Amino acid sequence: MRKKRVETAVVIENRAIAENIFRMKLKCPWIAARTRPGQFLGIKVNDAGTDPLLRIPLGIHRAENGYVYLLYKTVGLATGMLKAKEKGDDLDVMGPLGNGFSVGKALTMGSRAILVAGGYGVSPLYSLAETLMNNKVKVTIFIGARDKLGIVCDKELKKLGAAVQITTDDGSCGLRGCVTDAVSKYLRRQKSESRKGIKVFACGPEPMLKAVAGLADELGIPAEVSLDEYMACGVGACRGCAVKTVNGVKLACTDGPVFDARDVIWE
Amino acid sequence: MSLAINIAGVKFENPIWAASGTFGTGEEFLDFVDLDKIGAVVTKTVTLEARVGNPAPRIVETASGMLNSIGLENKGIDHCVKETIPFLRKYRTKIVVSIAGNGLSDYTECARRLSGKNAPDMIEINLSCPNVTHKGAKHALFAQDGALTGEIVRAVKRETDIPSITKLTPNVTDITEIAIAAEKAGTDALALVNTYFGMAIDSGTGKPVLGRVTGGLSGPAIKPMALKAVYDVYKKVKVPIIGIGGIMTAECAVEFMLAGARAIQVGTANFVDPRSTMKILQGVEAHLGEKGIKDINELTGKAHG
Repeated sequence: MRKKRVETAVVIENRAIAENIFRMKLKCPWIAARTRPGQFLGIKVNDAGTDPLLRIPLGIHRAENGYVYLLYKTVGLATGMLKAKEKGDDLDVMGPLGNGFSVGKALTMGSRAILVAGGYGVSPLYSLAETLMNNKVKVTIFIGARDKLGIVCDKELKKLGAAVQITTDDGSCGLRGCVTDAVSKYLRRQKSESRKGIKVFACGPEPMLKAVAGLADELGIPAEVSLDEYMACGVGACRGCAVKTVNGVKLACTDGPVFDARDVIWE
Repeated sequence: MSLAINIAGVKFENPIWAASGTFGTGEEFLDFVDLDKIGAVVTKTVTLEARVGNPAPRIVETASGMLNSIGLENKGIDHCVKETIPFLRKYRTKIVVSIAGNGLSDYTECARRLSGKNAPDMIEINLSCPNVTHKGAKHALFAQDGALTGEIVRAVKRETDIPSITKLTPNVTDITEIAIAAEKAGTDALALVNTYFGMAIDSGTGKPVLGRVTGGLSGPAIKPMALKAVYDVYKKVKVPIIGIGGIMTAECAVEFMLAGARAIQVGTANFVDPRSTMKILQGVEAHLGEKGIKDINELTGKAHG
């Protein structure tokens, strides 16, 4: 049975929700029906020329009722072209790709999940939070950014019923400081007994993921991290998105993008 | 209308193949491609022993192209014989196994191990991977040295009855000299071109982007150069040429055949659209229909007048 395909999605909405951060709603029923939290799409933003050439990997924010939502930051040529898509435009998307977070394993009723987001890395953690809460898992999410303009999805997550903690480098929103310091303080405050039911999920820049992995390892808490690597094919053929792990070289596109934090060998 | 081609006695249903290193074993593309339909799958290059490849980043996009420095990450020849070939045998596509090594004996040993019960239809001798180094060699790549190219081709030919394709690098002063050397040594066909040496530097960090600093450039950016290489080599050799280099569309495929290719390989296009091989095949078929061409072999070399 087919697990992924190329689907011509239709842009339903594409608008800025923060500085340089956009939310796109796509109608793509086949992919939406098969998506798990933490999976991603390979998006061909250029339908006329060869520059940019490759698909861009973008994490799926939410998938429901035939729609897929994306959050993306405009950082270059390809995301710039994505920003220019308008309601009614076709978009060539491939997916769902990757493994996603392991929501079923190790999380049972009454256990707790600590989610850690760096900026728009909150994107896949939203649907993860939703799924976990449907499974009666208590969710606390830490969202960090440089300033308040980089904080997104906090209101939606509060609406879901998750406990939301915000940190910004300049203190313009939430606590002043680094998100990993806030997570560290929080976890260290927990009695060792209550730490046992905790699992950490993180998505954001690599230094943040590395810090989260180190912290989880030190405290003996299981953690999963979603990695972002240069990618070409998205299906495990080119072996471009190599990730060094204790189990050998793995691929972000098919073995990941979500990895057990203990397995990753950080550079 | 006939799309069938014959290279060294091996009959391919059509000349649209998937290029080595861009198609995995074919299994990665099962959701997108009908392996009964494409002419051949050239496997990701295998070496005698498994290799872990180069440090990340291994991929970076450049203007109308991409650089890679994968470094021949693979599970080794025995895995290929045990798993990859039996997997591909379930389909009608022909199987070409790409091999590489540190020296002559690696190539002959790979050829020997491929010559058992699970033999492929052809062997592609990859003498042109830009992302590995060979200790003590005069040149970075075997295919930069005509004499060494000839030696390896001859040794592989002595070792096995499986017909062979020699894959050449464009990173030479005159690719026709190397092509002639491979032909004299008895290769059954030539595949050209492998990627062009290139690099990318991040102006922000001030450092090279790729983990191994340099890589191989592929994609539409190299097409005109690859096309010329095929055109030039066609004038100098008799063995069939398999054209590779930035083939994205059926038109590109036809152009390579007109330049002298008997078959073509689709590489980087597989990353842009995993259905590229199928689309190109359909497009080439439509082209023949429009032009009233009954046999695809008529296209080969036609641009030479």
